[in-house]
Amino acid sequence: MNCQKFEAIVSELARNQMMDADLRAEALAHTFKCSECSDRMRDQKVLSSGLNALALDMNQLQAPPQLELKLREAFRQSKQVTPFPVRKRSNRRYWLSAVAAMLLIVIGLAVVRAQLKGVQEELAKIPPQSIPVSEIQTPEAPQALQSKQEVIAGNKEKVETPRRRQQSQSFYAANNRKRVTSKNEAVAANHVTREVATDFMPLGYMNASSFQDGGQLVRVELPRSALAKFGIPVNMDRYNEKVKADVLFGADGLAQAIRFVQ
Amino acid sequence: MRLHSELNDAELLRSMIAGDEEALGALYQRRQAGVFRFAWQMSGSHTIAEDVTQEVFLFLIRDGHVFDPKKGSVNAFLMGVARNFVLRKLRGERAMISLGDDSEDDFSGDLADPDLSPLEDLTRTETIENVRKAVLSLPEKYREVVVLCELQELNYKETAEILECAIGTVRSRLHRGRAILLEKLRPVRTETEEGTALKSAGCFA
Repeated sequence: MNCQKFEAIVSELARNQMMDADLRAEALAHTFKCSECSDRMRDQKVLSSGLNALALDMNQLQAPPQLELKLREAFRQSKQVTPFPVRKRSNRRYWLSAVAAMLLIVIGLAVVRAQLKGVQEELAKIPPQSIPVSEIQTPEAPQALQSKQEVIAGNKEKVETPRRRQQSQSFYAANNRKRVTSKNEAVAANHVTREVATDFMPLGYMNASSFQDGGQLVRVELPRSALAKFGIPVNMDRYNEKVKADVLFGADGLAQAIRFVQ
Repeated sequence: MRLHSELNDAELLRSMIAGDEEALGALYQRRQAGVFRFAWQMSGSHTIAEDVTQEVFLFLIRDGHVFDPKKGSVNAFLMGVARNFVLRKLRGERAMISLGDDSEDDFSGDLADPDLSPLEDLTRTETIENVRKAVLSLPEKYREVVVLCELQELNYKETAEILECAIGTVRSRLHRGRAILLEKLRPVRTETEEGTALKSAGCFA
């Protein structure tokens, strides 16, 4: 054992910590040979006794008795306050979200309905002009409508279901042959060939079932500003002019779709 | 039904979390003195010790569920919480601590006695006071190890759990802390041309 090794373990030795018995014996033997290390050992033991005396001196220290009362009070309060508010707050948040969602849906429906009603009222003010729908070329009609056959009956037309398609087609063929002989019909045919029409644009929630019991196609004239409502660009030079349109009414009398004709 | 005095700390804590006020009382009676003494020995202030003891047990009431028995004992948990509160207080209220590294010279001057070494008279009351002051003047990382191992008489393992460090770190810090204490308490005689003068060897990095 040299002084350096002794220095490393002297505090453990003075504190009577557990260590290897041989190491302890070597260290103690070294103190008999080296006076400096003997002094180190003595100082460490005196320090330990001083620290022990200090520990004993403070051993009776305790927190003030009123502290326990305060803590017990705090404990009681914490147990009273915690249970419900968290759950209640979270439930309220869910209810508010649900009500907000419902309000948004109702408002959205009301807006759509109001817009639809406005268009229908505008259409109702304009006197209907009917032309034979069968003679109007509709190159890009909506798919839902392509399956329907339209039948002319005076100012009104019937939209047939697919079951009657075959029968109707033969009827149209015969009818068209007769019309060729008529002068008015020839003019109309020439007129139709020059017409360009947009796709049918739905007015509200349109589906095929709306035409199960037939429908009507009515030619009307609308102010050119109506184009803008359907997202079609308007030529401002011709803003005051009228524009032709075909309005498709369902059996319930409600306008289902519209297309613009030029 | 077992009495609270028969339950160990972890069982008392579980009962307390379940709402048993008497379990809190029993745990407090068992552990408050250690927490209070540790806070006092670390800070040298009765007020801080009282505040820290209150905060430690309020923390236990509020967040006692965070205690993990796998990480150590309830006592180690409480002392670890106390240590955090003490260090926070000391850093926030440094001005209230009169004994620090800056006052080292004055402190050493009080200890210096040309005729009698304090190390030879540690049994005296004033020497105990000197040791207390010397401990308070240690840097925090050495002070907490000296307080826990020497004054609270905890073993290396418990101290390591409280300080959340390795046992080897505790051992080396204690060794260094004791060396600093010896330096602070030992007046060194240095020979000068005029005669004998005393000066403190109280220097530590």
